[in-house]
Amino acid sequence: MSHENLSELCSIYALGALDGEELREFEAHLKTGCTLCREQIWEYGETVASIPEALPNVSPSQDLKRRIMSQLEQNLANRTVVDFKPATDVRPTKARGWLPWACAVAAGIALTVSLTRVSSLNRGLAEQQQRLNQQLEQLKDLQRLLSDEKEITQFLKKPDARVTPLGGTEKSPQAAGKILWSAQEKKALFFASNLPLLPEGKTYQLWIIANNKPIDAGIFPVDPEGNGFLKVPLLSEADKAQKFAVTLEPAGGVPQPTGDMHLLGSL
Amino acid sequence: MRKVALGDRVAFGHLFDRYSQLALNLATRVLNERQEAEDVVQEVFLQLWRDAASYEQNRGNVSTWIVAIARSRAIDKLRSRRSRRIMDPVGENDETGDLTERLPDPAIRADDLDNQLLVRKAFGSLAVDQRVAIEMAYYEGMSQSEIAEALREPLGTIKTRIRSGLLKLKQALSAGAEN
Repeated sequence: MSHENLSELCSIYALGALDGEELREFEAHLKTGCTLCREQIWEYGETVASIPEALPNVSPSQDLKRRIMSQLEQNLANRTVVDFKPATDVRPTKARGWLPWACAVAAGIALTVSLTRVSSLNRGLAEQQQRLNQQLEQLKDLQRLLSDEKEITQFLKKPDARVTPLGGTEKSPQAAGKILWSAQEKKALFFASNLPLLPEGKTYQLWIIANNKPIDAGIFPVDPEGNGFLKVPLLSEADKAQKFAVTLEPAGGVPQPTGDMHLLGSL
Repeated sequence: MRKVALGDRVAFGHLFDRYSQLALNLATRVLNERQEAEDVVQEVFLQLWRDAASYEQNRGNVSTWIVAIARSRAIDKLRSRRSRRIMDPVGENDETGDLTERLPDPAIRADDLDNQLLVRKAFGSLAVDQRVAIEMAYYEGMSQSEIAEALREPLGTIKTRIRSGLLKLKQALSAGAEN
């Protein structure tokens, strides 16, 4: 296989989907030390690692962290301890006078110093990279928050923007919600708080009730505190809205409400 | 990670707060079962606690490392469940349903992805057949040949979908990061 053909396999390899003879041939190629392919695999590896970030959030059990923290002590004894030492033994196997021995010791010391320095530099670089990555993540979160805030502000500036509060029903008396919506633009932003955590295989679904009929406005998850958020890009029949409601429905949502109502608000 | 390697439980707690949601989302998507997904998260973070020192020498991005371990462990459990199902085809272990039920629903996925973060937008920009092939490989742990067989498509078609999909995803993420 030509290098061009092999390099086309980098992305599939990074995804872990390469198999059969192609996998064997590709791995044999990598063992030759091809830096071009290794760089591509690293780049695609970063891309592949970002795939789960597209997933919606799943609410963890409230005691998950406590369970894990309580196990740390038990695992303390098994922690890996790592020493930095030269990968190869530089001592001569048989002494033949002082010169070869001295040269070997000098080379060993030089190698040890170099490796220690390289290890130290690598660790320093890795830490800097890690800090930078963390700061980039924080920046992304802040940018997202800022973008959300801007969107809310813009929304409130619309001449026909309305805010309708939703109150918790007997199923969730502590829950509350608010919907910012524009009948003219048929858009809405919905916020919920203190909703119960979602059971397995369930989702919350927002409904607009117009002409006494419920119309699907979208599904949303909630975080561990029971907070949810939904942007509704096309709020059907918004000019005829009478009420807004939230029900608990099977994952993926349903065309008509079937589950318990948790929030309700009338105009 | 250095503090975690030194046994700092507070630092470990911060790491857990920062990355456990991502690991749980991933494991839940692979296993479609909450308790097993939380077991995976538990295993991943206990491994991180045990191996933090060795991680420091070799890795640059803790998120990538956690995602890789979570995916690997979740797919191992999925395969183990599938083999149990083969051993017990009508037993109580049949909890994943038919494969076709687990394929991503393009309409629902598109709704979820709309107006979301950069990655969600980038992933949502892929053609449905590219997304399906990539998700089958990533979340189901299937190889290119297994995907071709499951979708009854030529192997070359699947390879092209994966390649072009990942290239587009990489470019979209790069472009988004620069903006």
